[in-house]
Amino acid sequence: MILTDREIQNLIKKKLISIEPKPSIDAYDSTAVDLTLDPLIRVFRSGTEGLIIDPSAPGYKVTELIRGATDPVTITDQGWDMPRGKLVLAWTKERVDLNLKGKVAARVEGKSGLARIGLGVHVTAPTIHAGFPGTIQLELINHGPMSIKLRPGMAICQLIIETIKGTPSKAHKSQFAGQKAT
Amino acid sequence: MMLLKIKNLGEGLHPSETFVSIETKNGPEQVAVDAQSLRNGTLPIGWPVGKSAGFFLVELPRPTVGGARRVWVRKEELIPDKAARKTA
Repeated sequence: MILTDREIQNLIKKKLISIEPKPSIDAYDSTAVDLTLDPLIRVFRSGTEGLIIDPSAPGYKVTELIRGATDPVTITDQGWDMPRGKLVLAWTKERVDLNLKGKVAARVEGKSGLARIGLGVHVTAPTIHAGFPGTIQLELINHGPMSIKLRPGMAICQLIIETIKGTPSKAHKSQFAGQKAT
Repeated sequence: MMLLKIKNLGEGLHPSETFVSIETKNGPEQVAVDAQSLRNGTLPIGWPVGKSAGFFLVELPRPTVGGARRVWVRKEELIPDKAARKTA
């Protein structure tokens, strides 16, 4: 069940979820809340196009690969022009905490106005699991025919929050009742 | 709730992330986690989701660099979260 703006605000008020900094009232629509772009992005270097990634190779480490293949860029108020066809890693400015007691999970989705000029915000991994804490990493791709200017603080994606049925195992103590881990 | 011992390896791909190492049944695994979640060298993981012969199966807040979300750890790697117990 997708939560309405009022339900999201109620959960925040009850401290069952948190979004910090708190979204302004105009960041909400009926069933979602907009999140904004953090200034720091990671841009894949030119010249990596010919390399082949083997995610199944023993010892494959995606974080090290990304760290080695990207440069951090801090977007100023003048913005950063994202070329067409480019993949960029980005993060939301907001830190989201889906407390397990809130019994919610979420999905991060694009905004229609940006989608229509070709900007995608994730690559088939939109799920924010119950219990997740942190800023949300985005995979921005410019699928459009023109460059797109990214600015820090722009509304970059929307968070859709859904209730979950039941209690996840990691929030359920009973099977370990009476045990002491040392 | 339980806390998992971690070794801090430094900043992740973004300043909000910390790169940590955890000791699993199959050796050390690395994972980028929310920096604010760390507590004195430990990571909150909720309750273990399984157990077998001295090992607990725990669900990490984010997948390891190898893609695993649930990993087996020795029970010695877990510490009861007393603060969480008091407020439960």
